Amino acid sequence: MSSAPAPSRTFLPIPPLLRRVFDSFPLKTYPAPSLPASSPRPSQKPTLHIFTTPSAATNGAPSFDPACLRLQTYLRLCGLEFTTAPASAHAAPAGELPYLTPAGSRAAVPARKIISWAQEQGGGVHEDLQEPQIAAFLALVEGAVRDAYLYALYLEPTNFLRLAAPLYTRISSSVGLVQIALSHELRAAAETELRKSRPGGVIVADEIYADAAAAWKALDTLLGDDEWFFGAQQPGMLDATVFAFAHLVRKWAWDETERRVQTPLETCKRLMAHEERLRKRCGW
Amino acid sequence: MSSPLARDDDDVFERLKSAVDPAVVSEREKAVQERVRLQYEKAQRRLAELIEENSTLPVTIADIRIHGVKNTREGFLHKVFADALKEEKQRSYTLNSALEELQKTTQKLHRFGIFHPNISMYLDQAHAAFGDRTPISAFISVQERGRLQLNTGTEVGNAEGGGYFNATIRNVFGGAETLYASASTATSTADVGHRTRSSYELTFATPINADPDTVFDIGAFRASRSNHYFASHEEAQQGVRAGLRFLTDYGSHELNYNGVWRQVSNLSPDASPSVRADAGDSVKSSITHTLTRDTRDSKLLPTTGSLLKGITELAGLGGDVSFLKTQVEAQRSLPFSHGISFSTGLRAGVLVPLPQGLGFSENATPPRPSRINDRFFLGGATDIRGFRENGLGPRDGNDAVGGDVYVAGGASLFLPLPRLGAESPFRLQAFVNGGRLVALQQSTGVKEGLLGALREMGVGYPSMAAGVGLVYAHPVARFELNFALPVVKREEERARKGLQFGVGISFL
Repeated sequence: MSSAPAPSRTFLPIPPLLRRVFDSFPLKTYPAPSLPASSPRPSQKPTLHIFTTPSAATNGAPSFDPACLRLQTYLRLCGLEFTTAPASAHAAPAGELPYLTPAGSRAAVPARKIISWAQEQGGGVHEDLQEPQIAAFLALVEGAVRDAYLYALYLEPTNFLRLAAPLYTRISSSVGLVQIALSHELRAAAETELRKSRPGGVIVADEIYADAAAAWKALDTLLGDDEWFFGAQQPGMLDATVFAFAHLVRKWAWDETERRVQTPLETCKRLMAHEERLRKRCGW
Repeated sequence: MSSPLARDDDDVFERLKSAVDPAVVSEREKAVQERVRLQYEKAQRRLAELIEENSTLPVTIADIRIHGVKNTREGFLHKVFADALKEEKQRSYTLNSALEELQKTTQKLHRFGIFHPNISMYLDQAHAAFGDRTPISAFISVQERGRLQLNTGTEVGNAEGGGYFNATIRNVFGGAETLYASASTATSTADVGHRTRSSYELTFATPINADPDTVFDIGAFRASRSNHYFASHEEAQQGVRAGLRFLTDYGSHELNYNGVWRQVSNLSPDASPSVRADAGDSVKSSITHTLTRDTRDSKLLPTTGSLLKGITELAGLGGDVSFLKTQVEAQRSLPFSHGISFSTGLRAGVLVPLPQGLGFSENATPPRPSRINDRFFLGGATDIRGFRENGLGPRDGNDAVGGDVYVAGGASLFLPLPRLGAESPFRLQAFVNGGRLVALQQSTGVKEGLLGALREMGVGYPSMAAGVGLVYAHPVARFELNFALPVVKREEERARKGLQFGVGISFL
């Protein structure tokens, strides 16, 4: 290694004296200006940014979005201390909530890296998500169950107007026209998402609900009389994922005529008990 | 006299019978032209004499006739001339004052922009009887400009490519109304990073009461702009606006309403928490008043005169953001001998968060901190040279996040280039400029926050830079190439040592 400074790429050689004069500028440097009031201050605890209302965020209440609730539950199960904050999907890396800012850090951990981040932090759950059985059942929840959830919340007209649209759009803007525009976008996005996952891109309500009912049954059988899935000592990712959907499916005040997503779950007594058990464990 | 026609009269017939010599013909033509010119000059002289002699002659404008009008409404023209035909004026017109009044009115016609600039006027004595006053008729001849104007083009610069399309329909309803539509896009990949912008606009403008200086306009727009190069995000806007422009003794006013849905999105992976916190949707519903008093001889390179400008925006009539934003700008230019001139300018602004709904609504919440898309930015070749664009003020990591209070000032001495002189649009300049941009801190209240910000402004010298450069005032924009050195700066602020190029229409 040479101690000489790297040659500058200017086409004119600058005489050393002039360079010294240049380098003496600026003559005076003051400390950096402080950040505006809205800039988040570095926090002592990690922050999970989720779909939630400001008041629910301060209580650490569960998110109303399954993708957020799933990781929120997982982090709680890991026994990691964190706070939650309401966020817009536009704030998230790749536009997908949740994301996480580690304690004292200015960087954002995207949703897909939160699990490995938690494991690096020494989170309590040790499992291999690539293990075929776990992967298969995770795919079942993320497929059949999620499709029915999307259909029930976004494509059933009354549910959408009464439940999804107000919650998801009011956190964005207080202006009615903007809420209407956003709710159209939201619904179109859900429909696109469904078409991608349904065979042939055809959306048939009866099929979607039937698939979900079968999935609930299968999960109920898998759980059996164990406390957690696969007879584990500690709840894991599958428990968190099933819980996220089961909790929201039970919690939403579905319209009387559009609650076909809820009825099959209510017949799975063991899953219902699992949901309650996990909710208590998370302190909700 | 050498003209053949000036010879003795008895020779004329003889000359006509003889063969025509081409040289003589051309000479004849010349002579005819000469005579016409002389006659015209004589007529003009006579007219001037007449007006001079009769300048105090009491007259009355009996009628005004306009030729060449096709699309313009009669009612509209009536209003334009109504002032000149007012009864009290009619009673006191002299030939001179009537002429002045008519000239003022034709100038008004010009300003609507619907006629070609060759408006001409003739006067004649009218036949109608108006007591002891001499009645006169005015004949005004105009030529209407084309109704539809389309502009389209592509712009390819150093590292920028783009296209635009503009369409203007003039005189839509025959009352100098304008319908304007435009679309433009541009992409650049300069060293400052990838920038794209696009904008679409539709505006309808109409003069109020046939007065070219009082214009109402209403429109809708949609635009998106990449702010990745200084704050890791893009901002999309769509909205409606309505405005009124008018003149008073204080200057020219603009009163605007804006209803805009803004979306801060497409963040870079390494966007700072400050930018993430402000990402998403917000609606701004605001009224803005702008007062401009401009006596400068040139907007781009003033050598004398001054500019005073005040902009006040009140946001929170509905919408998601509530604030009062005030900015003032003052500029003064002084000419010295040998084409040397001196310009100095000062700008300042403050953004005060207000209670949601401005405190009128029942569920009013306390003032919320400002958002990145409402705050001020400072720095760059057009305001504080020697700093990068938006290089002053608070930064979070790589992002400039803006501030709520700012002051910026500058002084430039302009020298004409040797050989080219003062008439050329080139100048050498020596400048000093600087400023401060600070943000309101998290505190118990807005008042404490503002006091705290003002206190912070007073700490130390403002960030400053000085330098010399070359200025070119092109009719469309001003170009500058400067060599600047930052003298005082804050840590994190992005200074730029050395050469800096600037293009703009408004410099400090």
